[in-house]
This record gives sequence, structure tokens and C-alpha cells, in this order.
Amino acid sequence: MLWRAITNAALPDVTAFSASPLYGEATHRATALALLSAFYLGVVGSGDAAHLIGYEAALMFASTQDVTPIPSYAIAGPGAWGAIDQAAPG
Amino acid sequence: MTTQFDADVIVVGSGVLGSLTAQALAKAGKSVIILEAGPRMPRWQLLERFRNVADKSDFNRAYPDQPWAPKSSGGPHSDDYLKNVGPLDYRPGMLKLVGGTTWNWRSACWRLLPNDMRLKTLYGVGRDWPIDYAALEPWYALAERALGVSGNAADDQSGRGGAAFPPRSQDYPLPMLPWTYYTRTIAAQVESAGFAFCDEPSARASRPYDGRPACAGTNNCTPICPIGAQYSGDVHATLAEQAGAELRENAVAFRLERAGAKIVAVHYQSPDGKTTRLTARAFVLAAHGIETPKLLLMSELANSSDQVGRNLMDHTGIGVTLLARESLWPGQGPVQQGAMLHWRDGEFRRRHAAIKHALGNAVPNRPVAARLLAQGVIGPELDRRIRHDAARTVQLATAFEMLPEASNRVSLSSSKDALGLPKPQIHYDVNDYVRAAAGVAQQDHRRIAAILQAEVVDGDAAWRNGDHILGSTIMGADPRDSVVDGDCRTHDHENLFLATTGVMPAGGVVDPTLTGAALALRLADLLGRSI
Amino acid sequence: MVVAAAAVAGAAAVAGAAVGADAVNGARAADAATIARGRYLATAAHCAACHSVDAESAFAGGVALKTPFGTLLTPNITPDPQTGIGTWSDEQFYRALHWGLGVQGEHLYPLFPYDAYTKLRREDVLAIKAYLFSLPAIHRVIPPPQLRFPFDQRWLLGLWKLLNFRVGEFQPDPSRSADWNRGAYLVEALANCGACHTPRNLTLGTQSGAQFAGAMVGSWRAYNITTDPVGGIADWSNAELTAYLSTGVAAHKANAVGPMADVVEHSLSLLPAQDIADIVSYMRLVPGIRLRTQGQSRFSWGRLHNPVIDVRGNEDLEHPTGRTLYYGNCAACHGGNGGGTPDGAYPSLVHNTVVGASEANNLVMTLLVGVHRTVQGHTVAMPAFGAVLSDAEIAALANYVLNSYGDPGIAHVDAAIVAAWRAEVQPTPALITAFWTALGAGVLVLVGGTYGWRRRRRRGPGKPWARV
Repeated sequence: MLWRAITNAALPDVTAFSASPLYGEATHRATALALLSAFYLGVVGSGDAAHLIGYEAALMFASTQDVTPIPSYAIAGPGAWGAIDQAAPG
Repeated sequence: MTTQFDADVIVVGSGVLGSLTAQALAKAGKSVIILEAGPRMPRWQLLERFRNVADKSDFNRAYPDQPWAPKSSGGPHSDDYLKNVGPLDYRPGMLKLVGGTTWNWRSACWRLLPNDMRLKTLYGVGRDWPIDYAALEPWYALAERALGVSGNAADDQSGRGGAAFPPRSQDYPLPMLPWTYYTRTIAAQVESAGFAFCDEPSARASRPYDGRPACAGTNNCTPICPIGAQYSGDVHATLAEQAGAELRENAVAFRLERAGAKIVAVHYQSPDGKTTRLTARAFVLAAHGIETPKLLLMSELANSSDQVGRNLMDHTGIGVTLLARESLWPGQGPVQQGAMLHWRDGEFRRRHAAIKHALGNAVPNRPVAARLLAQGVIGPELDRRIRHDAARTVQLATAFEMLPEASNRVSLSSSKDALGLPKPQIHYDVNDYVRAAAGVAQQDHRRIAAILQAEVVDGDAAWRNGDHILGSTIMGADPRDSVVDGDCRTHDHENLFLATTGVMPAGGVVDPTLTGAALALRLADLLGRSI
Repeated sequence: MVVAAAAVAGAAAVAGAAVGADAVNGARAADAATIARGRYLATAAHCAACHSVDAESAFAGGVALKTPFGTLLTPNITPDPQTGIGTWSDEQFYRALHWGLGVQGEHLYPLFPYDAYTKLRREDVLAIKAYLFSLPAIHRVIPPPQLRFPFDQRWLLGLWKLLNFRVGEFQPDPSRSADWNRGAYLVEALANCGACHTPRNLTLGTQSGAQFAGAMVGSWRAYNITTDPVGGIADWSNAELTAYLSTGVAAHKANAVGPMADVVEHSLSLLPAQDIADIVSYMRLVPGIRLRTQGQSRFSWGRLHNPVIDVRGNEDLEHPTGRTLYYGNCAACHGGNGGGTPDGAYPSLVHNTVVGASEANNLVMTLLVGVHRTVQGHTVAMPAFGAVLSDAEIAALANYVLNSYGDPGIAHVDAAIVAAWRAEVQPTPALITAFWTALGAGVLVLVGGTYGWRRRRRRGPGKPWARV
């Protein structure tokens, strides 16, 4: 449904989609957010019914990988964070 | 006439306190059997389990949800285990596996202040400890060595910004972990407003220690340190076995048997239902603060005072999440560093609870992304906003000191678990002493937000668990109103000891594990010399 | 002047008194400079590697050296008169290092590498003695060696010496530079790199023509450090070699592990920069050798890749593959993609000289026992996985690493070989035992035959074997 609607509206990218009236429509919005949620958070569902899509590849980490670790993976040697004396652009 | 025992000492529970006790006794030449309700699991498996967990909002989910060894949460068996019947849902972290709950902790290793142990005398509230700081001090030093605590001995940990305090006979075995840019910046800013900011000593190796690697800053202390730089109870479970102790996993102790006033045996059940009886000269219960009183209640022991299970405490608290104006970048280094201690001690404790604001340093991307998605932000704007907000997130976890109250208690539920044993029933509430402190704390939060030019993103004032189980088998000089004496020996049974933070009659406002470890080493020394 | 004279007189008096007291030893009173030089030489020669169990009992011996013929405990070389070398004269000490002879005139086992120390100048040998004699005497009884027959026959060592031992102090080569000569002295006489890096032959001497081409040290591999670009280290830059020797790390290339980490920590990292430079100068000119097994240089294997998409949520944690074990045990530091951290503190496994070697020994041993190396007050450590993983798990993990980041051609490590390496099992030296038994028997027959022939001649015709 959503795919067809996007194609028909000839929306070139997500930014355009988010600005379009399609995004205002409840079902389209819900579908889009559910899909993005899955990719960004790496999970669908919640509680005992949650199902993992991914962890390391979850998009929620993509934009900060130069500064902070994906938890459980090192990005520098022991204590290296102590030498960082300024904030990377955020 | 000789009496044959299965062991000199049987320790119930292989967590940090049980394993420290067992190792000390084994090194002193005693035969020791440790009974652990849960399974034995290697670190790598727990780590991969964590990474595979779908719902990462409950870190307990990384750990197995066994029907015979339920945790405090994180799975169908565990979620239905603690039966809360009071106003609050008391659910502090509790795990059942070899090594215990310290697989999943933030390893804060504070000492109590001398005043923390004299609450009643000094401030007219709560209970005094029957022993003083000086009695415990040498054991604190040994516990810090055993756990590999890194910290700054020059700090005034009482929050008055003065000279080094409390008094120490030895330096920390490891230097403190360096502060991140985030911690340094926030510390400087709040200090200038009069909030005493102090490094939080922790059992994270700042350099290789005792076979553990140095902290790599993977920011995953909880639910599990990927590399073992952070201490976990399995360290001493292994050391205890190397010293000659026998460890039986998947062994759920369900009854202590007595003859007269002496405890003579413990009965345990395996997952297949088979029961075993073991005898020993002495017994140490180290099953943490819910299972220990539960075992005593099921056995109808050690309770002439009617205090077993009562006086249940935690460091119940509140939190706040801020979005600062400038980029600070939480998430570099360990998940927690430093705390504001200006409400740690003082005359105000007559009127309201002590307060500690711990500065959280976890990578915030998941809640940040979830919040933005819930607001409908998508596309490249979502990526930009995740970065922007993650860089500016400031998390505070605020803890309050509880007072022991008879009505806050662990008792036996009529509900049975998979082994047919009663589930723990819990009645728990906070009182006005704590509520008054919450008001003060929230003023602090607003002040801090102003200092950081931050907006409050999540000013959730709901009570949250502090993961510190205290008071449920309370220590005292008087057998009429306490379960154990100052040596952690039960008043009623001379050969039954309790190695658990449940003995603490006052917890101050700091994490209790180091105090529990000091008590465990002290009782092991006493017990080792007396049998 | 008066003060100086008094000082000289005082020193002479002290020296005189020392000579009087040490008349039996024939030792001169050692001055601070000699002792300091002796400490430096003992560091370069890394005496502590074999003679010190730990820092507290420095040079008191007792280190177990496992050989295929039994285990030998190293002697106590502290100046203790009963259990150490406290009664040894200068001459006796020199004879030990120069001739390989003990105080009873017995041959010393060449596990004590006097084939290198014979090259030491006499004054250097005596400086080492002066240093040892300045240390606390430690009373520790070391049981004598218990080696299997025929290796318990010390007289056979005379044959070993005949075959393998050339006595003589180092003679500088005037056609070479001063750097090279200093380097030669360091490498051949002191640090004795060949003891580990040069393979041995049946005669248990080092193979001539294979110097530095690589050899086994217990379960570890001491790599080919000749000038071959593929088999050896010709393609390492001077900066890399210098960094490796003096710190144990050549960034993004090599990290010293096992016995070499020990050498770096307790010997090489403590030498002056000029010494390291001289060692490099010397090693740059040794002949290049490439072994048949070496098809590619050790640092040329592997590529970054992270199959986490296949891994996440798809693993059977009860029956882990090598890949699962990699993610659970290694990826936190070495990266899901094997690349380590950008600063190299956690090394990349790609283009890694241990991972890319043509034998899996050092990879497996490092997994088993970890790394612990302190240089200039900074400790680098990797945990020992031998305590938490079974032999089968170590094998699976090693094979995954080799397949992904090393030479897939050697990715057939199995539990049995891991168990053998873990136990430092020495291969049954059937051939070597046979050789030496035959040699010894041959000598006995020769000696016995000569004796009998000469007796027969003396006695004249008649029964040759009648008793006298």
C-alpha cells in the first residue's frame, strides 16, 4: 500500500515523503514508522513478543560511530577517552 | 565418636559474597561446598545472548530464564516470580547463575561513611549498625583488593569538598579511570554551583589486574562487560574452585534442617526434581536479600525476632534525562562515572533522606532514536537529530536512602514456582522521609538543567528500583529486633551465618556491594578460625 | 689533593681488604662501574629468562626447561655459598661461560648457551660475575638435572662440543662497520637470538646455513628473521624493527607475544637506543632464507570483513561455530571485521604477523595464554582464553581467524593439536635418541676395542681376554 502510494506520488526520497501529505495519513505514517523503527532500532514488537532484526547494523548507531561505540565494541585503547578534550560536532 | 560431614562449610549462593566467603574458607584449609541455584555460563555466551536480545530495555533478558532459577525479571518465568502486593513494584536486579547478580551491574564500589553507620544516634532516624566503621575498615581494604577497585583515595567522598574521606588504611589497588570529556565538563559546571562532584570508585580495571584486561570503554558494563575488565562474581567462584571448593550448579537450596539450635543439613533440589541432603559444621547463606530470607522463612529458622524478611530496603530513586545546549557526548568510556554527593551526609538527615545523583554515561542512541521516531521524525533529518540529541543527552540517576520499616518485607507467597516452592511475596513502599528528599532532588534537577542550559526531555518522577537489596535479614546487637549480630552470625543459630547485603541495617545512599564484600571477608575469617 | 689522595688511599684500603677476604675466590673488588656494566650485560643476555622464577627470587634458578629428553631446572647463580655460585672464583665463572665447564670440570648442558657466551670478552664475563655477586644471596637448593638415557651421560656432551662448539671470543671484522660489529656482538654473544630463531639438527646444534630461519620454542614459533622479503623481515622498515624490538609493537603489523614478549619486556626494551640500532644494522646483512612453507609474507594475509549480518540472531549458542566464538570472545576488542581499533591498541588481525604466519602455533598459544607485556611502565594485556574455552573451541576459533584473516591453507587446527600445544608436549625424539645412542655406543665400542687390542698386543698370543 505504502509502496504504491509513494511510487504514484513520485516521491524521490524520504525527505520529500516526510514533507508530503502522504505522511500525514495515519496508516501510511504508521507503516513508514514501523518499517523505519525496525531498521533503526533493530527490533520489531516489544516485550516477550519482540523479534530482533539486527543490532550492530541498526541504523540508530550509524550517525555517531565516529564518536561513541556501539555498546560492547571498543573504538580505542584502554583509557583513550581520557585524552579527548573537546566535543566532536554534534 | 566422629561425625562425618559432607563439608566443613556449605555456602548457599555463588555470587560475589558467597564466592568470596567460599574462597577465603577454602584457602584457610576448610572443605567447602557451594550450592548455586542457576547454571554455569561462559562470558562469551552471555555477551552474544545480549547482542541477540530483541527487547534491550530489560538487560536481564540476556540471562537465561530458568524455571527453577528465576531472575527478578526478563522472561516468562522471571516476570511472574516476585509477587508485589504493595504500592510499589519492588524489582531490584537479581540473577541466578554461577557468579550471581554482579554479572550485570555497574560495579560502583563505595564505602559507607562512619556517620552512615550511626543514623539513629546522630540523626534520630533508622537504626545504628552494631559495629562501627573502624571495625569494617581493614575489610574494606581487602575487599577493594579482591574486587580490583579503581578510585581516587584523595577524594572527599562525603560530599563536603574537603580532605580525603572516609579514612583509609590503604590506597585503592588501581588508579581511577580517567574522566571523559562529558564527565569533566559537567563536573566543572555543577561544582561551580556548589554541587560536590566526586569520582565513583568502581570494580573496573584501569590497567590489567589479576588476569583481567583493562577497561576498553565498550560502554556495556551493564548488562555484561564483554571482556571481564569489570569484576563479576564468577571471578571468585573460579578462585574458590581453584582453592578446593566444590561448586554444584543447578542446585536450589529449599530447606535448612536443624537439630536443637544447630543447623545440621541443607536440602537442595535439582531441575529434574531430585533432592539431595548435605551436612556441614557450619552454613553460610549468600543467596542475596530476597532468597536468603525466603529460605529462612521456608525453613522456619533464625526468626525469634520476627524480623526475617522485614525492613526490606533498596535505594529507590528517580531519574531525569536532559538535553544540554552543547555537545557533551555521553557514551565514551564506562556507563557511569562520578556522582554529586552534596546531600550524602548532614543534619538534614533528621528530616529527609540522603540523596545521590549519579551521572549516567550510557550511549543514548536507542532511547533517542525511539523518541524521535515516536515524534515522527524520519529520513536524513532523523540521522541528524539522532546525532544532535545523542551528543547532548545527560542522564541522572538519583538514589535515596531508605529507612528500615517492618511493613516493607519479603514473605512467602501462596503462589508456587516451577519447583513447588513459594514465590517471594513483597510489600514495599516509600515513606515521607524519602518523599521529602524527592522534592529536594527535583529542585536539584531543575538547577542542574539550568546550569547546563538544558531542557528536560524525560522528567520521569516515577519511583525506580535501585537494584540494592538491603535490610531483609537485619543486623543488630539485640536478638529481639534483629536477625544477625555484628559478625553476620544469626542470633538464633550459632553455626548459621548470612553473607548478604540483606544484613545491612542502614545503607547510606551508596551501592552496597563493597560493604557486603567486606562483611563476607570478615565473617569468613571469623568462621575459618572457629571451626 | 689531600682529599683525593685520601680517597684513593681509602679505595685502595677497601680494595686491599676485599682482596684479602676474597683471596680464595681471586675476585677483585668490583667498582660501581663494573657492576653497572655487568647489569647491562646481564640484561642484554637476559640471564633472568632462565635463572629467575620471579622478581623476588632473582637469579636463584629453578626455572624448568623442558626438553624432549626430560626437564632441567636451572641453577642458582646468586652468590649464595652453599646453593649458588658464592664460592666460585673468576676463573671458574669464566670457564663456565667460555668453555662450558662446571667447577668439577664436568661438561655443562648446552641448554646453557655457552656456544654464544664463549664469544664474550673476558672483562665482560667478569663484569657479569661482579653484578651477580652484588645481588642478595638466595638460599635455594636446585636438584640436579634428570634427563633420559643416554642424555644423562655428561661425557656425551664432549661429543656434542666436538660437533657443534667452537670456543673463542668474538673477533671484530675490520671490513665491517663499527655498528655492524657492535650489532654482531649483541646478537651473537649476548642476546643470542639464534638460540630461539635458528633451527637445530640431529646433533642438537644449530643448523649452519639456516641461521635465524625460524625454530620452535616449546609450543611457540620463533619466526624467520632473515633478510628474505617473503620468509623473513626484509620488508619491515627500520622504524618498524626498532619499534618492535624496543616496545614489542610495530604499529599495524606486529605485536610480540609469548617468549618474545618476555624478551622485549625484560631485555630489549631496557637497552639503549644505539644497541637496538646496531642489532638492526647487523640483522640487515644476514643471508636471506625462505622456507618451503612460506609462500607469502606473514603480514600480507587477510582482509577486513564483518559477517555480522549473517551472525546476529542466527547462531546456535549451545553448539558454537568458530565464528560465533569469535564474536563472543574477540570482536569486542578486535572488531567484528577483524580490524581492531584505529589507534592499534587492539591490533588488527588483518596483515598481522602472528595471524598470517605459515604455522598456527603462535595464534593458538596466544589464545590459550593471552598476552601480558609491560614496557616503560605501560602494560598491554590480552586475556587467556585457555581457561574458558575447550581445546575444540580454541581450534574452531583459530580456524575461523585463519580462514578470515590469515592463511586459510593452515586452517585445520584440531582439538588434539591444541591439547598438545597447551601441554607443551615435546615430540618423541626417536631419531635424535637413536643418533646419540648410536654415537655413544660407537665411541664405547671404539674405546673398548682399542683397549682390548692394546692389551692383546702387550700380552702376546694367547687368550686375549684373560684376566690379569
